[in-house]
Amino acid sequence: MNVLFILFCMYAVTLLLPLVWMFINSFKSNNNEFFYDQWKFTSFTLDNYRLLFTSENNIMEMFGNTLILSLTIPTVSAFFSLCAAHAVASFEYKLKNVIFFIFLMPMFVSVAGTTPYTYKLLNDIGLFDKHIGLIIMSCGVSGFGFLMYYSVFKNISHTYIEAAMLDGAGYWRIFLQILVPQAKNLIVAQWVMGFIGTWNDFSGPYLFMPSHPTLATGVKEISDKINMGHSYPELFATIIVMLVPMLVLFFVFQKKIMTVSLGGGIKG
Amino acid sequence: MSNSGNKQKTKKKKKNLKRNLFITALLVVPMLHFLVFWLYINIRTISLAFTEWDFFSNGYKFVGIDNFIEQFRQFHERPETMNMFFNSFRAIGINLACMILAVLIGYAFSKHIRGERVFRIIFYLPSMISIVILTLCYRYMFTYNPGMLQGPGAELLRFFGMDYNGWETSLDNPDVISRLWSMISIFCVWASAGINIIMMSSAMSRIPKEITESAKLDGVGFWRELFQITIPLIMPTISVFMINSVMAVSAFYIQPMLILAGSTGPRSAYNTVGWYMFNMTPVAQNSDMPVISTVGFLLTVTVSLLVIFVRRVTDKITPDVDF
Repeated sequence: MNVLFILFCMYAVTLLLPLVWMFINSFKSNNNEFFYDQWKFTSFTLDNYRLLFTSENNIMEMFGNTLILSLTIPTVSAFFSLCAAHAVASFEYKLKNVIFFIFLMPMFVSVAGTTPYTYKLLNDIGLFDKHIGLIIMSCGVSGFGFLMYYSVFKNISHTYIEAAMLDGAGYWRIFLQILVPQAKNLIVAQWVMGFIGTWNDFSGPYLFMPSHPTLATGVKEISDKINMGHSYPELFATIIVMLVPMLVLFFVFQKKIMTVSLGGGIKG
Repeated sequence: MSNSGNKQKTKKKKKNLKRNLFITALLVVPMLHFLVFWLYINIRTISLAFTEWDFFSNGYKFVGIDNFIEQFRQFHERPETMNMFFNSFRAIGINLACMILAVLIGYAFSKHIRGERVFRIIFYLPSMISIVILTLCYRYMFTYNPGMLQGPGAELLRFFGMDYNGWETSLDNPDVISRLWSMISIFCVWASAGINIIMMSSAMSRIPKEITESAKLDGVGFWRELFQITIPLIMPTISVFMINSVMAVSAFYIQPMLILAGSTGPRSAYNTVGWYMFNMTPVAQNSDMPVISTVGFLLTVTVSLLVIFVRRVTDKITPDVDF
């Protein structure tokens, strides 16, 4: 146990140090100062941050694009997942089991090499390089969310719903005002996870909206041009700007996030 | 009498119609999305593997399994074309290492190791951070470029006497290639181990207290409890995790791609199938699509067979208990 404790401490340190390293060096004025001493505040300048928000570094645009995607995608996806879960959990009809199975399919079957064709399809239907294209592409039913909402709706007793119906409530009202609030905690947790996932997503915006950089793709662009007009401290400042909202979210929703996160192999 | 019965029937019919309309409204968008972005794209991708672009008719024509024969001929004549397949499967090894760490850490948490709460938060932290940031940070920490950037990680390795020269992707030297791959793998494990801890420790928290307590009374030690009680009882979770890690094979590319600044190395030593797809996506012409689909199809088939195999194995070693 003591050996484990020491190993854990070491792992924790290696996780934190790189962040400290980037943070310190985001206040250096140029590359040389950074190369010379990487662990001290040899100089303290906010120029990198100021530059980000003033120069042609369109960080405001990146911020805006990231925010648009991160706010809409989890919202729309949550709405449709709830719809699908309600349709399958609360009614009896033919093909119900088939539909249930269909929404879980993407979770269990993955075909490799579909991205190039998806790219072609988006081009053909005129949604390529537009926010709306990526949003439409990513707003399907999420298998995991669907399953969780399904089990919530399944456990809501029918008498409850019937009583509401006798009071004259329509289907939509019952769905939106009685059922959805029951899943409130789950929805918030899923939404926050979706927000974080979209905020950090790289390949989606990089491939499908190349002329609208988000923070993730922007950071990569800056790092590609690191010795051609961009400096390391500038890159680190951009990274910190991208990082801070996530850290805030994490500390606010920490409990919620850590209860719904279910892993999934290599971080991607 | 019959009149009012009819009335009731029409009322019921009307109600049914309303109900069916509502269900349809709920399902129409999710189903359309599934049909277009999952079913259509998958079927199209797979079917393209059996076609060839015909420049005269400006369309795809069916050629049977010619693409596969050509692909296997390539494997035979230029063995380096197999590298990207081989490299993709490194993801399984990485995932297994992550899983072992996650089980160990989760187990220590369930035994309330000192500082558990702080560790939980810190270990989960990388999951909040974009993979782009983590990877770039790692890349620069281990960059060794004398006179320019000498990252602290690189300095440390050299301090311990390693002959480390940074990310030299251009060298066609098996030692360099395997060293860079092990550094990439270590990075992946370092950055991903934390995400799975929660899954493992929540599986462990479902183990009934009586079992662990009676084991304690019987004098079962820390490690024996882990191997003989905890791991067998969380086998279902482990099994799901293993299947997920096999399925992750086709999506493995961001880490090597960003660490190596986009260089797939000599004879695609660092390439993966996911990376190949990523590179081909913006540039693929109609005539490239059949080849891309063939590569994807081969990987899909291999992965599916592996998933079935893993499921068989884990089913066999999972004890038949319910709790």
